[in-house]
Amino acid sequence: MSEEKLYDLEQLNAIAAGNDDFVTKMVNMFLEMTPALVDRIEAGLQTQDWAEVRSAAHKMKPSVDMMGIKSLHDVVRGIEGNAKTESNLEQIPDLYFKLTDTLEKVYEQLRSR
Amino acid sequence: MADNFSVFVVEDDEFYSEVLEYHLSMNPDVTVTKFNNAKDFLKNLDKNPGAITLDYSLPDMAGEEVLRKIKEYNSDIPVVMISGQEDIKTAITLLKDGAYDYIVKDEDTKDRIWNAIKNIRENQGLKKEISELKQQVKKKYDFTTSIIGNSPSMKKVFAMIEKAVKSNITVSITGETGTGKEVVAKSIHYNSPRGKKPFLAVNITAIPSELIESELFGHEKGSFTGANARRIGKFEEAGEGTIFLDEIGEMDINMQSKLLRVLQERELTRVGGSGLVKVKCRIISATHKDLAEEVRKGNFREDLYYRLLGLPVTLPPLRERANDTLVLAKHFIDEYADENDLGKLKLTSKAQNKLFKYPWPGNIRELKAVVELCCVMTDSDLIEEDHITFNSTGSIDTLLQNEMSLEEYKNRIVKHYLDKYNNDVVNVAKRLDIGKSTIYRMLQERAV
Repeated sequence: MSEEKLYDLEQLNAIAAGNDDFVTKMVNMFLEMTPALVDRIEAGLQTQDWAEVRSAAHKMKPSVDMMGIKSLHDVVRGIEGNAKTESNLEQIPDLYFKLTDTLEKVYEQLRSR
Repeated sequence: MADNFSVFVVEDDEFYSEVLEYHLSMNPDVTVTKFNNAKDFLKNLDKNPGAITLDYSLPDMAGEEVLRKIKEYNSDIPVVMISGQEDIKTAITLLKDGAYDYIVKDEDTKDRIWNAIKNIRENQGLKKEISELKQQVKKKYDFTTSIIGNSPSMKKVFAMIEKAVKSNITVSITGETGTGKEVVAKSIHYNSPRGKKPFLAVNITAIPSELIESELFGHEKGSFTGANARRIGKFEEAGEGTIFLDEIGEMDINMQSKLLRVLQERELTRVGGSGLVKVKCRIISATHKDLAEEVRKGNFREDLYYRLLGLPVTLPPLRERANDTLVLAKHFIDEYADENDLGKLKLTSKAQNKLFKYPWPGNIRELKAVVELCCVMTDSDLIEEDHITFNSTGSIDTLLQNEMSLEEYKNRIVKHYLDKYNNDVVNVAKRLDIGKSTIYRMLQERAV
């Protein structure tokens, strides 16, 4: 299975400066906290609570960036931006599916790292 | 900077605060404490962190609000604001409110925060160093240790200095050259409430008279040839500190009236300028001249004399300070020995006697020079009579100190003139208003 690697730990490794335990810790933390944020976005979408969608997407940015998930860079920002201005709201569900799809694959890749 | 530097990371994003903590802790001198809400953090403000990184959007309080509370508590703690998105308006407001920096969470954030913390540490190191140095300077000019002497005449001086320290009054210091006028001025300044503000010394004789006005009051660009830029004068530079006008008796009469006006109005105008600048500094003046006498002769303005007089401190010449010569000599010997790792040096009683008898026309400055020379001259830990050499400039006092007979003095005077005028007896006789034959006779008797 030669699937494209969706994440890049280069930045995290740079900060860790050779400390693999730190990288593992941060990866585990990402795996633990991201699903909860995704749930918040979903709940917000269902109740059309855009402030909640915005806030959850906002909180996701640093970890998504730090894990080097480049394909999600614009996705997370798109959700946050649209929810903030409450414009182009029809794009949000598509962005959301792209987010969950990609994250599922990232989780898998990270676990079998 | 080996001491520990405490950084508070206030960040509700667990992932991000973990990264920050790890990154900042890479520096072994930095201790990071994490908080994920404003309430807990504010409760711990009394632990006085060296720096704070503060997330702009905390769950329980707005970023501006937290920043305001920190600044209210202690405006000296540097706060680095970290925000999820770039917003120039917010950034400007936060920086205006006293944030040290405003950083957006993106790829470069960690380096920017690292740099910000590094700069803060350097800055605080410097600040600490400055305050320590200020403390040292204050100690150096603590007049109980920097001005030495037990003589009754010095006791009076101490009493005056103490009065000057406690008030804001203008001080005038008189004393012969080398009696320590500047040391007294500095002691007054550094021990007064103005001690942390600048001390500026201006020696009137050291500045050409045509430049003195711009030196003291500053000038605007283009006000005279060579004035390429605006310049702040010493009075302005001194701010709320002290300006020390040394050798005030040498100020030319024209400048005296300008200075008088400034002292009366407490306001000055820069040369070529039109705006008024408030004068807030204290004024200490000094002179070796008898200013009252200069006033009588018409060389010094009477009104300025009274304006500057304030609290007069008269420094006695060393020869009138009884035992102080030896006390000071010992002090300078110890100081010199200390600075040069020479170990303990002692004066023999003959050497002491020699120092004691000398009239010290150059006062303490001369004493210090003479004593330092002895320390160099001696090869043991004893300073003998022979090690002491006076580089007297030949003042009459020194001559009288020799206590010779009148005859001997007479011979010496004639010899001096003969040497000076190439043994031209006619000329010397004329100058001394004595007969040529007197000189010939003295030459015959081999008295000269």
